Amino acid sequence: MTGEFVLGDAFARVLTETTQALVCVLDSGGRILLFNDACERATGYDREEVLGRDARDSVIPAEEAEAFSDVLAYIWRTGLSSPQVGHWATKEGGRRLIAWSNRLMPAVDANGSFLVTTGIELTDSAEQPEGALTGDVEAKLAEVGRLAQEQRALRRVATLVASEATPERVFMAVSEETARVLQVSASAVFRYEGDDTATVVGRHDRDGVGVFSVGDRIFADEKMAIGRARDTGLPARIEDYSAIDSDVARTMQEVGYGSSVAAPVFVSGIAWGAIAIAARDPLPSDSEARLMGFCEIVSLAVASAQAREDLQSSRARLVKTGDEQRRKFERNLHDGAQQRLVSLALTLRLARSKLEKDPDSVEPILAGAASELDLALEELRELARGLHPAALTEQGLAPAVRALGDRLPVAVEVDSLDERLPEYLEATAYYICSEALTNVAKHAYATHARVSFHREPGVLRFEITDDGRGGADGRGSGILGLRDRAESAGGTLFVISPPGKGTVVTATLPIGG
Amino acid sequence: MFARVHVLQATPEQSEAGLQIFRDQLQPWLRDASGYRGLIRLEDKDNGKTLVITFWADEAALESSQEAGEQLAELTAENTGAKRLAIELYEATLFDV
Repeated sequence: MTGEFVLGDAFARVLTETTQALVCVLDSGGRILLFNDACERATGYDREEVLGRDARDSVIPAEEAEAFSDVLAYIWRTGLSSPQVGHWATKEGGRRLIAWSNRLMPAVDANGSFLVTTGIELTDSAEQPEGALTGDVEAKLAEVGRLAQEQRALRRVATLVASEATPERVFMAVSEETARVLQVSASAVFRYEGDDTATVVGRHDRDGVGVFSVGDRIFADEKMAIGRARDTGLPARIEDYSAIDSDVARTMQEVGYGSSVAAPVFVSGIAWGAIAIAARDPLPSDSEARLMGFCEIVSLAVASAQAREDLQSSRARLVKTGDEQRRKFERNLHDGAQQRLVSLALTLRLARSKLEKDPDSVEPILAGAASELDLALEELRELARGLHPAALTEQGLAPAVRALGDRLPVAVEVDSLDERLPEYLEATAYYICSEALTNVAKHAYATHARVSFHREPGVLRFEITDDGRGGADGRGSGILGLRDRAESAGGTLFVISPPGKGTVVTATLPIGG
Repeated sequence: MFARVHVLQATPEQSEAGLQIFRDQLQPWLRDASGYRGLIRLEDKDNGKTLVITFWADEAALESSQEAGEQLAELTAENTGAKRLAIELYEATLFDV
């Protein structure tokens, strides 16, 4: 019998206690909230001595306190991870060199956030004989030089990402820098394709072997390091390709590579790709840890490129929607009011021609003209309301939405909202309500809808709910259009629409600023 | 391409009045209509039989302009005094112009 495995609190606790990696959680003031066994072993501090205290009073060496403060400030300002290599001080006053990954984690009550950091000790990595850093000055200097080179490489790539270079350029730079830092002549960045394959998106090929060029799609199963990294979510290595029976393994050997190491790149929690290096002989055991620093940067590059792309397509959709609306407006004018006015002109012309010869027939013709004119006026009013309802300017958001609801074939209940808000905000909220209610009337098969406004500090939140059939497609153009509207005003919009249970559209718009 | 054919009976004076109305009221509106592709008027000067043919890009445009076409043709005929004999719909299958 096996029960269900849940990735929850218990697992987190076991993992934290058993891992060889250092796990430390900090608050925004740099106070230590969690300090695992590995931290105790590395520093000689007991948990009780450091918990609740500023890390700068214990494990952060005085000479790195300022850099530590900068990193904390950066992370809390941007919400981004910031991989670091730095020293921790031991209780005895020694120094441990540690490569850190970190990520902000929101508090359970969403009140602030904590920084979860995990570290791998570089000081005692298998490459180094025991005491190399503290004993042999030359070895120490070599190590420091190597780390400095690694830091510079990471910084160069990070700068490239910050300058919004294309992902392709970042991938090439990452390949080049990882090869340089890890002293290998072959490296590549791969993107997983959602099946058993991966595409080469960045490549450094100092030997000029010519295989695995950018754009090549290769088979990446568990016989490959990148396949294992994808399947396990952890760095993986192949020590000896000659022991593996696969086409890719044979290709690797043919071009002179015996071993490789790959580390996965996660974007939004999903294994997006990997960075891999290859060499003739087995790679040093710290290769995985050193690749990880680059993985964080690739992840950042991909995520920020995706965010830019989303923004661009949102802008394009807004422009397209605007164009479509103008076109529709022109059509409605032409086929509605304009056509009525053309008929009216012809009708009046007819009436004039009959005035002398057949005055009795003029009266009904003019009556027809008058009613045609009324229809034209009503159509023009309807169009004008669609452009910007006068009720919105004169009476405000809730009355305007109420007036709109009264014209729909669904019963719409609208909460009151006592205060007037900035014009742009009322307009954005009105159009979101208007489109959402139009969707309700058109698609939801609802009998009743409700619009409620909640004024909260700095934001206006409102909900449009209906009792219809639900199942609205959150990615459909209608909802994307609503979301674009909200986001263009700096807000957010969510749609919950379980089949058969109605739809709730929740929008939050910032006020002022 | 699709066509709507208005078959009329008109005197030369009525034809002249129709031309005036076309220029003043109908043409500016027609030119902005979706799928409008032009108009031809054919007259038999001996017997006054007249065809007014409007061309439309596709069947949808022909259909969506049907109601307006009927109404404006009727009002124009009332103004000029021409007799409307028939209205017919066609698909244009050959052009050599």
